[in-house]
Amino acid sequence: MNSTNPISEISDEDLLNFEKNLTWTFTSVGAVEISNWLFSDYANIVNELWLGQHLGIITDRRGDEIVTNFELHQNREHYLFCEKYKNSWLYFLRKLILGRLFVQYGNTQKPIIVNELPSANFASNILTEATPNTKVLIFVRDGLDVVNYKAATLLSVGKRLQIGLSNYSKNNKLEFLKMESRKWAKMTSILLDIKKNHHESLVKIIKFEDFCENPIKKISEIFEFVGIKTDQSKLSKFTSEIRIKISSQKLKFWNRGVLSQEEKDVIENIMKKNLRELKYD
Amino acid sequence: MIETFAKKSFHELSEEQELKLEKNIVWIFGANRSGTSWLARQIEESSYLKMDEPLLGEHLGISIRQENKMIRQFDIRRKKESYFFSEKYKEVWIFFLRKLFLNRVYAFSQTVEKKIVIKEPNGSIGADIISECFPKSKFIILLRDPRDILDSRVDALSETGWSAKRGWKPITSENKIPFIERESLRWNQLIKILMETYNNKKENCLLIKYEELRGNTFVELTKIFKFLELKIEDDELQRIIDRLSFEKIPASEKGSGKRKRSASPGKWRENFSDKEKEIMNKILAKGIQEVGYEL
Repeated sequence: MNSTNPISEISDEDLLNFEKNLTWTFTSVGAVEISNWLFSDYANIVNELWLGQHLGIITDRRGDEIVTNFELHQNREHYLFCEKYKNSWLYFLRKLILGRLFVQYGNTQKPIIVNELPSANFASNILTEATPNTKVLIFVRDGLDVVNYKAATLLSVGKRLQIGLSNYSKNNKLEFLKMESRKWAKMTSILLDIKKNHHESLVKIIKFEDFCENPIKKISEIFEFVGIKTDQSKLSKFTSEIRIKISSQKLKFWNRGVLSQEEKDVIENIMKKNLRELKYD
Repeated sequence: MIETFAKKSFHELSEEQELKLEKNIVWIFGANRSGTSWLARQIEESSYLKMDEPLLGEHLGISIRQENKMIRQFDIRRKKESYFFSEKYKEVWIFFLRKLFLNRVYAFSQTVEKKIVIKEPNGSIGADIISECFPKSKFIILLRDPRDILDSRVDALSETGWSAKRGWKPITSENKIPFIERESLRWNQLIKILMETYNNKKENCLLIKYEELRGNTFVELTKIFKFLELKIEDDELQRIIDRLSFEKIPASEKGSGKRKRSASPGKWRENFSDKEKEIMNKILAKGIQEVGYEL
């Protein structure tokens, strides 16, 4: 092991400036592509960093509750990321995250957008707590649409999916829907907590449905939030492409109604707290 | 700056202290239910501090099933530059990950002078990465016949098993075969990683079999303590062995469904059906023979 610090010449101030230029984007199904499309010309996009997945291990322990590793082990003082020694590991986790990304993107003047897949959302609270000066852009989406999409995938796969100890197929579709609903509810709770715990001015939540309703307005807001200057020429590019992007997303997820009323009721019951908080009907 | 991380409320180790601590750490890797707790306790008794499952390796080793094998995301993605743990930026992330872990261990131990044993069965899937991060540490790999491991895990996850009682979803007749298949695939993946770790770190790594440790504890522990450069008198070693022997555990605290079950190699032959044995042997055959167990 070479014990020389590979970023020894980078000052704390450099690291802090880098941190301020970084935006975590936590997305829902369908929004990853939109985010890529939006930022591709104006920022460095870090796709599939996968740190969130490594940190955000989840278990459907009893088959009725999604728990993260952090929750499961936080009171065990031997666990690396335990509550008791949080000051210590958060400090060094910040260094790990920023140091690794700085070496790759440190020379850029453009904003850096980390565009994580939805499965990274389970560790979004840890990532943002470790990097308190970053911006956080959250795309949420109606849980019913998300689960509808997952159900359509299950049915189109046509074979059994094994997740944990359980096998899923169209024969036990309801169990699958319940699990996916619990995942959505858990993920959304974690994302909403960021709003409470991160600095208010550094968090922006965008509802995918609002984005589809008024895309140019939302794009302007997002760019301003991330630190990308917009002008009419930039916006006109989006104006010409946006309808195609959004309609393809809609077609992909919204027109596949594969849920019965009974299934919708079960799903809504699991999600109701977060659906209400996000003001979904 | 919004958060005052710069004003630390803890001591940050110097490079010399980090190195000293790294050298004082011994990791125990092995499958869950292969006797790692028992071995860690024996080492702890000889004056080591003990850390139970920091789970660093579990976070590093997240895996998915691809057809008839388990594969880590690390192995799928390491060639991609954008991946956090990419090959290209390995020197950087290893540097900071090592710092994170050692300082976190120090937060617990409050000393770099004492020897520390870290038991990491559920994180053994990241043994190779961990051994690269901490090249000056020592590593003990504890092997056990995977069919006995499976037998023990099935027992723990039975309706009345200790694991099920702690809230884990129990094994039923419906999901037992998929469980056996999946866990056999997991063992194949694990043994490959453990043997690679051993072959790459031979000078710092000791390979032990549970069956031999159980069958001749004194001889095997002497070997382990020699590897750890730990001087211990024979009578003290015998005292440790006696104190922690399975036979000393009260009957009410051991047996089927309990965490301390039978410590009897070969029980799998009685506890699995012919069909179950056939399924697991088919999946496990290659790995079992490679590490010297009989099919």
